[in-house]
Formats: sequence, structure tokens, C-alpha cells
Amino acid sequence: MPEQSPENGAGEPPFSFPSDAATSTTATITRIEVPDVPEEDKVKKTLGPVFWIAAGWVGLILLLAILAPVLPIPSPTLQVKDCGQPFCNRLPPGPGHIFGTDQNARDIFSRIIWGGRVSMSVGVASIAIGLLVGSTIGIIAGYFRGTVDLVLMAISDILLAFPPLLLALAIVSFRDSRTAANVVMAIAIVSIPPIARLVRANTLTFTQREFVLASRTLGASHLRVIVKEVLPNVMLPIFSFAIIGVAIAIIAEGGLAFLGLSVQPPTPTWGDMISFGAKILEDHPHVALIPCAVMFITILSLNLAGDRVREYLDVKDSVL
Amino acid sequence: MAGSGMEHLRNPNDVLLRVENLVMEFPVGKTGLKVHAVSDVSIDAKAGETLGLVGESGCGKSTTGKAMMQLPRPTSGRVLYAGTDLTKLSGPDLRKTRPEMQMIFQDPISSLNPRRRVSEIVSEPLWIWVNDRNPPGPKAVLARNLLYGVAGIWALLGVAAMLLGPAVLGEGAEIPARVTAFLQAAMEAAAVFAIAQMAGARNKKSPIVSLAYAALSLVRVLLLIAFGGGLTIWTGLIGGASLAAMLAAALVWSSRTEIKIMSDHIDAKVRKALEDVGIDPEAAWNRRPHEFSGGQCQRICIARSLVLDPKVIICDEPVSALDVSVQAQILNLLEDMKARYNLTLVFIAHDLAVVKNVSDRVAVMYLGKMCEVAPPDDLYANPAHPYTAALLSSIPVPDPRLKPTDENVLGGEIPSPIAPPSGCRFRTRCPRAQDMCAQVEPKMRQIGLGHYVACHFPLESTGPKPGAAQLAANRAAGGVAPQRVTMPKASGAQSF
Amino acid sequence: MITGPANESRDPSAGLLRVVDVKTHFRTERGTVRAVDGVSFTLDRGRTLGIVGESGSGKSVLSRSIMGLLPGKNVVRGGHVFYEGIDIVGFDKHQMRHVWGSEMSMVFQDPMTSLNPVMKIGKQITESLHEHLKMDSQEAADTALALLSSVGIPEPAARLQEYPHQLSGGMRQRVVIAIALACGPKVLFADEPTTALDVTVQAQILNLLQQQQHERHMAMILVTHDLGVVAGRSHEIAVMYAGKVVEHAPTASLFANVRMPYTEALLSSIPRIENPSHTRLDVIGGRPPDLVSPPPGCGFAPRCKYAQPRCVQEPPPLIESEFPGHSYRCFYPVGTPANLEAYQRNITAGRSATGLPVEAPVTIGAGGRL
Repeated sequence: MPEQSPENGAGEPPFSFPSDAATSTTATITRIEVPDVPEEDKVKKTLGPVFWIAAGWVGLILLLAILAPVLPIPSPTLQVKDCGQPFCNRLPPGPGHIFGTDQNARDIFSRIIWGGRVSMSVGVASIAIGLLVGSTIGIIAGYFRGTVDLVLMAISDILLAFPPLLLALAIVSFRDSRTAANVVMAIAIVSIPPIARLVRANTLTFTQREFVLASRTLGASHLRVIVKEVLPNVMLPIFSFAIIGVAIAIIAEGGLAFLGLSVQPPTPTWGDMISFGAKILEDHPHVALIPCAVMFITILSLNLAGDRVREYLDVKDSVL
Repeated sequence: MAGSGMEHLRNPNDVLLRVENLVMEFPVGKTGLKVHAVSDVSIDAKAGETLGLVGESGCGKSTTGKAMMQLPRPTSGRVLYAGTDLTKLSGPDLRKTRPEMQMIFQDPISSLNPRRRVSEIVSEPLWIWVNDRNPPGPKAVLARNLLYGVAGIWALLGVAAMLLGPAVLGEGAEIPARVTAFLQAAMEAAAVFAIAQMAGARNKKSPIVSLAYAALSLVRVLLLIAFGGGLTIWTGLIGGASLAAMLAAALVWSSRTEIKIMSDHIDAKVRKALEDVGIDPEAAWNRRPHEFSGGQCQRICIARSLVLDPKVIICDEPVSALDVSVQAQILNLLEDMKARYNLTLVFIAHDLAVVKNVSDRVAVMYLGKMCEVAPPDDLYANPAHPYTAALLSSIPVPDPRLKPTDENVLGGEIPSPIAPPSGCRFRTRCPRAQDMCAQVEPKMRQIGLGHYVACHFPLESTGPKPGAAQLAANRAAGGVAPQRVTMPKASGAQSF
Repeated sequence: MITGPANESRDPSAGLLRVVDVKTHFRTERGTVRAVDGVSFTLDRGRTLGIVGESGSGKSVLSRSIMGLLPGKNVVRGGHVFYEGIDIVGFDKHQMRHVWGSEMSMVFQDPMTSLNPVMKIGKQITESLHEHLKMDSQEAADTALALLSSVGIPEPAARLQEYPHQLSGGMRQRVVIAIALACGPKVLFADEPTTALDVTVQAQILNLLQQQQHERHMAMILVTHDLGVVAGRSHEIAVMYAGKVVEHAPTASLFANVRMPYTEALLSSIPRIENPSHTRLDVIGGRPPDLVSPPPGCGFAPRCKYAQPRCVQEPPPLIESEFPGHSYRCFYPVGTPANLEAYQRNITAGRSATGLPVEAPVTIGAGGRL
């Protein structure tokens, strides 16, 4: 056994490291063969065309929504008067107004873009807040377990016991003003318990893995273990869930709008447009069906994109 | 067997690691019952020694190993490392001993974070300890204190906005605006506090994070000046806080060379450790664990435990999940590393041949108790405990001339650790068990040089046994098929 | 049971089980994985074949291929499996159902996952008795009881009413064996039957399998990674490496006259209980080849200290040795002058033809350090 014991250089400033042990070795030590490292996997994982089509659609909607104020489109709240007739309401889709107009003679194409502004921002913002709060709760509960877990999960159980739409309705109607912020708040609160549950379950499985124990034996603090070891493993799958969550939030906003509890009219939202158009569905189906189709395609795209991202981020544990 | 006692322990001054009367009990749900995982186990290891802990699953060998690391802390008993009782240490003090004692786990793939790169995994221990071993420089401390100040300003602003309203926020601030301002300020305070922690520590990312925050502050001040509702206490203080944040960022940014040098030192050390364990650092650097085989992952785990220059490594079944050819590589590697880094190893395994190969002293455990402690060659040639003998005879030997037979196979299975048998815990399966074994728990006693056994009726040792040593000799001579290690049948308490 | 060399059974026309050039390839996104690549053997009643290999060698896929237990998608199968003269490779699921259980059955590695956790043990045994042997309830219950006591389960009547989780690991594996034996199969596959068990229980289970095989005069295929498990309990051993059988011999001949360098290396890398503590172990460098794009020559060449240029260029065929029933895939078989010459050449060059460093052994039998 070699005599040189590695000195524990705890003190030498400014950069002290435990000295490089064993710069000299005894005769008993042989060179260890260096096993080859596997070549890169032949096939690189890709997201696939489905993802890009879906992401393209969502990107288009987002882009149009963001650019809505500068786009050369009619106002979504004012009546159109350029159709050459006394009343320009309920126009079928045509060259002047590609999606036609509704009962109040407002341009549907314009309303879809402006409605997308509300739907997308409500969807993204509420899920972002839900994710922030929900995953914090979930990780704390799953990592520390014990009493903390018991209390946090009891609260989330109580929230889960309410039907989500009813809970959102209650929250929205409790607040007087029907602003987008209140709708976001309602949907965010409703989304917290399921996200917390999901994150907790994920955290539980990863906390039992030996790399977390290994990190503890290396002297890492709980915070470091959570941030460096648990969080990356838990959050990447949650990220793909969040994309699907945005779709659910858009549906929820639509549901609230259909019941007249979303953003105050005349600000357009997709749900409100569907609700408004449903009244004349038999004679002028396009008024309701076009926003329906846009919402359907958007939600389908988000779901497909979320699924593909989940598969893409799925890390193989082993090649064995 | 399965006894207690401390006769086999050596002088506390001669040993590096000493476990005394270790007890580990876990509650079974809310039933009030307890799993007696480890009951009154004592063992020690000298510096530079390899202690082998061997036994079947459920014997408490892994629990003993983890209890040495205080993960979790034992129910009772003492764990002395270099004379310090680890069980009495507070959390922070215990953490300070972590670099001295390291652990390698059974499943190498599970013990590596699948989302991190090899370089990050192996350098992680050094980054964990970088600030303890190298206190931050004056610039970093100043930057941190500045940022603490900024966090304080934000906290004060939040409270003031909530309580004073218009006086702070300007004319016409209603309750919702106050609440929003409070929440915003609270979030800012928390964020700045976190950045302050980073800035005061040696962290590769702290210059970037600090700079990013300073840039955000600048944008916010400009926006406030452009669109803000006139000069209020609120806007004034935010402007001041932003300026302080920018100053702190400049300080942290200027110390980035210092961090770079540190980072290079760490990288060099990681490269060295990877080379030592037979992994090519250049090829492995940016790869993730799933790109490696089990044996290579175990090498990476060993490298990670070596970078802190530990004194003791507890190897918990390090080769059980590996193929035979890889197992040999890892066992040889552990032997090399033990010599090269002057380590003391605690080697836990269920495979007696593996334990024998690496150990200087072997302890056989059964159902949470110690059975026999001896130097490996003596233990395997002259097993004194009936359980050791049974274990030895049930090893499948890769030699077709040794026909396995029924007669030496131990019957039954390990009893439940929730209600372990009275007296000697092995008596329910022991071919030599007498009435006495149910009543009196055997204590460890010496039967040879460094050879201790906890059994009322141990097997006699009569010179060279028709055991392992003989078997090797026969094989070498190419003579008649040697016999298996046989366990004499019980024929009363004849051993005395 | 175990008797001498097994060459008298190697008669292809009379075999109970005749496996001819079985290939199983899996189509994956990385390419075609040649998990089993041309394996042939015959097996008669009362005989035990040990299949030994490391993980990824294809030993488990081979037994599943013979049993027809492969996933339906993305599998390319080749070759023939003649069971009593009938090729069962082409059988569909419905036809295989008559083979499984009553003709061939399998004992898996993990008894917990091969038992249904929510079904009583008695029901799990009697199910196949109803299905295959058309027994009535009373008869089936009696048979189940007899089966459980024959596999050495204490208080069998009480166990019939219990669930798998109420039993210990060894008892569960006994139940799995009882289920496998229920319909009197003629071929029993044991796929790593003791890997999940402790060493004392392993000995019990291996003895049980051996005794049952003897009593029922079954053919048994014992798949394992541990040469020690098959050494004393099989008539012949097939060593698998990278989807191929690289050495196939009667057990005694395999250990006495190792021909394949891989088998030799495998044997010398096992820590032996009879060697003194701190004996340096021989290692096999490198790793098994990628089964998607296997090297053109011998699969073991990159890890072999005897490798010559020829080994890299052409795959060695299965060569019959001078010992009856002993065949191997190597151009420079261990224990022959050709091998010695190749080794000398590599020692002189300091490396093998594939670049593996080769050093002269310091002392014969490896140097112990303490």
C-alpha cells in the first residue's frame, strides 16, 4: 500500500484542493484498460413532422395574437359597413371577410385573432402560475414526505373534491370584475392540485433513486439535492404536461366564456364567440363552427405537441 | 449464532471505524410492530483494512453499512469514526464528515442522475465543497452584502406599499394596487436573496445570473422613468436598488476569472479521477449515464466517490448487478484504488467468493446479528459457525466434479425480522440447535487468532479442513475429485 | 441424475427437441438487433442443457424464441424448432396454447412478477389443469395439493388459499415451479430461476428442479449467467456470446478441455472460494459487440488476447473438436498449438490483432498480492 496519504488541503488559500493523490504508484498497480465508450446512437431522436405541424399551428396563432393590434384587420368590436348592404351582419365567408361576420356584423376573422389573444394568454398565464405554485408544493411534499406531505396533500385533496369547473365558476363569480386577470387566477387555482399531485408522484419515484442518496452522502444540502438532482428529472416531464395543460386551460376558459363568466364582452374570446354563434347555429352555422374549429385544431395541436415532447424528453435509464 | 457481544472488537485507538451495539429498527406502518433490521451489532475496521460484511438478503448488512453513514441515523448504538461518535453529531457537523466517508451503491445506473453529464456528476462533490474549502473572496462577499441590501430594500418597499399606500406608490393607489405592489416586492426580495446566495458562492453561473439581473434592473429603471407616474418613494427606491444590483453584478463579473481558475482545477481533478478508474475523460466528458454499460457506470460512481479523497468507502453490493467479466474488472479496480488512495473499505456483498477475494476481515451476518468474524482464509477453511458452513456449502462451484447434493443444503428460509426467534436467531434452521439455543443468546467469543464466533456449539476446527484450501490443492494436483465443504451433522452437544 | 457425457443423445433424427439455426432479430429504431443469430442443438428427455451467457448474449431471447414467447411486432424469426418432429416455429398463438404448459413450460427469473398478485395460489395452479387436462374441480384441487407438496411447500393445503405476497421468495419460486409442472411438460425451461434468490435458497431450488426433472424424466434447459449453477447440474453446456453459441460441449468436457477463449476468460474471471484472499482476478477487457452492427469476424475478437488478423476478417464456423460432442467457434482454440503460437505472437507484439494490449503473464495462476 502506498504511504503517501492524500493530504486534506482544507486550508491553503486561495484555491486549495486535496492534493492529487497517487501521482506515484507502487508496483502492484497495473494500468487499467480503458473500455471504449459507445458510439453515438445511430439514429438521433427527433420530434417528428407531427410535432412541427402542431407547433407551427400554435406558433401561428400566437404570432397572430401578438401582432393583432398592427395587423390590417377590422376592429373586432365594431360593426363592418363595407359590404355594400345596409346590414352587414351574418355574412357568409367570402373574399371581403374570409370567415364572414356575426349577428352584430363584426368580422369573425378579426375576432378569432383577438379572441386568441385572450385564450392563449389565459391558457399560458394560468398554467404558468399553476405550475410555479403546484410544482413547489409537489416537490416539497414528495421530497420531505412525513407531516409536510400529509398537510399539503390533505389541502390538495379538499380542492380536488370540488368539480374543477364549479370551483373556477365560484372563484370568478366571487370576484366582481370579470377581467382576464381574474379568469387567470381562477384557472390557476384550479390547476394547482392536479399539478402538485403529479409533481409529488414524480418526486417520490426520483427521491427513492440512489443518486439522491448518493448526493446526500456527498454532503449536499436538501436545497442542492432538490435543485440539482430532483428538479431536472421532475420538471422536464412536467413541461410536456404543461403544454397539454395549456390546452385544458383554454377549454376551461371557453367553458367559462360559454357560461358568460369569462372576460367581459365585447372583448372577444373563443368561448364567447361559440356561445354567441350557437344561438343562430341552424341558419348560420359558420358563426359558431369557425371558432369551434380553430379552438379544436389549437387544442389538438397542443396535445400532440405535448405528447411528442414527452416522448422526446424521455431519457433512457440504461442501455443494458 | 446470531449473537451479540463485543469481544471481537479491537483496541479503539487502533481502529478507524468502530460500530458499537448498533440497533436499527423500523416501524411497520402504523401497526406498532417493528422490523428488527439490525440488533446489537458491533464491528470495527482498521485504517487500510477491507472489512467484508456478508450474509443473505434481510441479514442487515446493507442497513449496517448505511447506518455507518448515518443514513438514517441508528435507533441506538454508537458509530465511531476516528474517535468521533457520528451518532451524536449535529446535522452541520455530520455534513462536515461526509467527504471522509463515501458510499458506492448496488445499482450503478440508478445512482447516477440520468439527466446530468458525466463531467457534472463527477465534479458535483467538488462543487458541493468548493465554498467550504475555499472561502469566497472579498469582492464576492461585498457583492453578496450589496445584494442582501437590495433584497432588504425590496422587502421594506413591499411592507411600506401595503401599509402606507399612496404615500409610497403615488396618488390614487387603491387596495388592489397595494396588494399587487406588495406581492411584486416580495417576489423581488426572494429572487434577489437567491441571487445574493449565488453571488457570494463559487458558482460557475453566478456572474451570468448577476449580470442578467442587473440588466433587468436597468430596463426596469428606464421604463419607470419613461412611463412611471412621477417620482415617488417607490420609484426612487427601485432606482436605488437597481443601481446597487448593477454594482454587485459588476463585482461578481470581475471575479469570474477566479471562478474560472477554480473550475479548471476541478476539471483537472475530475479528469484524473476518471482516468484512474479507466474511463477516457475526453470521450466521456459530455455523455450521459445511459450511454454507458453497467460496469462503466460503476466506474463513474467510484470516480465520483474518489474525488473528495475519502478515508473510508462503504461499498454496498457494488458488483451484484454486474456480469461476471465486469465484476472482475470492478473488483480489481477497487483493490487498485484502495492501494492508490489509501482507503479503508467496508465491502458489503452476498457473494462469499467475492467478499473473500477483497477482504482482510470478514463478518458473517444473519437476521440482524453477527455470527462470525475472522480473517477470510481462516473463515473459509475453518468455518466455526454452522451458518457460515451452510453458506459455504451452498455456493455453486464452477467445477463439474463437485456434485451438488441435498445433504448440506440449509433448509427453510430466513425468519421474519418483525418477530425474530428467541435466543440464537439461527436456531430455527440450524442442524446443531439444542434447547439452550432457544433460551440463551450466544455471545461472541474467540476460537482462534482473530477468529470469533457467536455460537454455543461451534464446528470444531481440526487443522486443515477438507475445505477450500484442500480443494485448491487437489485441483492443482489434478487428482481425484475433491469433496465439497461439508458440514458435520449434529449429534448432540458433542462440541464441548 | 447427472450422468456422464451426453454425446449419445446427439442424434438429430430422434430428438425430443431439435433446434435448427434459430434466428431472432428485433427491428428497432437503431437498426436490426441480431439477438439470436443461428443457434442449433438437440435435447432428449431426461437431459439437462445449460445455456450460459452474460446479459445481452441472447440466452433469454433464445429460450423465449423456442417457446414462441416473443412480442408480435418488429420480430424477424428464422430457423426451425422441431418438437417431437413437428416444426412449431410457424405455430400461431392458438396452436401454441396446446404446447405451452402441457408440452413445454417455463420458470422465470422473478417469481413475484410471474405470479398473478390478485389470484389465490390454488386457483393459479388449477387454472391450467382445467384448461389442458380437462380435470374437474375436485380432481384439480387434489392434483394442486399433490403438486405443492411435491415441490416441498410445507402445509400445502393452507397455501392453496393464500396470495403470492404472503409467501417468501423461495416459496413463490416453488409455486412457480409447481405451476410449470402442473400439466406434465416434457421440456422445462428455467430462465435464471435462482438469480433473484439467496444463495441457500438457490441451492434448495436448484436441487428441487433437478429432482423434479429426474422424477418426471423431462428435458430441462437451464439458462443462467453463472457457470457454477450449471457446472454440477447439466449434461451439456452451451456458452452463448453475442447471439451465437460459441462453445457447446458435455459439461465435463467443457471444463476439462476449454476450447473457446471466451469460455476460458469467463472461467478465470470468476472469484474462486478456494483461492486465497486478494487473488488478482483475470478480466475480460472491453465490452460485448453491438448486436445491430456486429463485427464481420469473430464477435469476441476485440476482447480476445489471442486475436489474429483472420479473426477480424471472417466469422469462425462451429468446429467439431476431437472430443465427442464438443464444438466451438474459434480459429485458434485454447489448448492447441495454433493458440499457443497466436498468443506468443501477440505477446511479442504487445497487442492483439484488434489492438488489445497483451502482456506476458507474470506468474502462472495470477499473482496474489498479500
